[in-house]
Amino acid sequence: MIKLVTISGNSMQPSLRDGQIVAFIKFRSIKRGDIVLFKHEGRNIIKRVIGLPKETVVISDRCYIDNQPIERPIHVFPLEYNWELQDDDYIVLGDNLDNSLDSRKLGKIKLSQITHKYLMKIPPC
Amino acid sequence: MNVSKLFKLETAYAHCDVPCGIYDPHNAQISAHTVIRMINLMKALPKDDPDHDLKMSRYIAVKEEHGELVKHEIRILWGDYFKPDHQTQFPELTDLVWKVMKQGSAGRQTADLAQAQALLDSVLKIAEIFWKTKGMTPRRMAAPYPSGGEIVLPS
Repeated sequence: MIKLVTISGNSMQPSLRDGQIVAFIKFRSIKRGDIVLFKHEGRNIIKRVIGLPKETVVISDRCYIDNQPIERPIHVFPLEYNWELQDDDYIVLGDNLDNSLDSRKLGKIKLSQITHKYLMKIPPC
Repeated sequence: MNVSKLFKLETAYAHCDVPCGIYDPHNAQISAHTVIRMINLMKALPKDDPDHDLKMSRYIAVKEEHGELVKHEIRILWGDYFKPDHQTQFPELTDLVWKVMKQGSAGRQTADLAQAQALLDSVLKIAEIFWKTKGMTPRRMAAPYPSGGEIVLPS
């Protein structure tokens, strides 16, 4: 049920730091803002869910979900993105938007790729 | 109590380095040359230089930085670029990477020119392997830097 992972990389800063040990748990549902673990090319990738199934996600000056800007601040992007999400599609972004490999490069993430969601940080011993 | 000893830990990649396929051993070579250059400058610095402490501090700081940068650049190649096939084709690769980790640390800990030259030699050999895996013919040429030595370029 619970998976412990070590974070590698800085794309989730300031929420999660490189080298931090984090617990993930199997999920029943995923909501916007959840940090999830998903498989991409055999690797565990960690990002935050921004877009949910059946939503339209646009990233330009801000992030819009079904034409409504979301509260989460988004930097001005050099490019615009527009996704129409199907039943099992998700859009994920890193918290460190200036330095993150996420849906802006990877595109939509399928539900079948998502294995766990964030539970808690494990404090250093 | 160490969590990693009690539980099996996997790695979760919070990728910030886009796997865009752009890899190059050039930066590692530049940093290895920089370590050599800093050691040379440290040895050549007159003790009665009015700015001795300031200059020495800067040389040491740059040497520290680039000793670590060499390791960083080689770790990226090792972790993100090189594949098992490359290791099979070039069985010396693992040992060379391991040497760079050790020699890079030595480059920070000491002002031993021989260690720094050994670091550069290991990096050059990795650079040669890298370009061979790209189907290119690496060539060594005299480095156009005051550190002397060589640099590996593709051709």
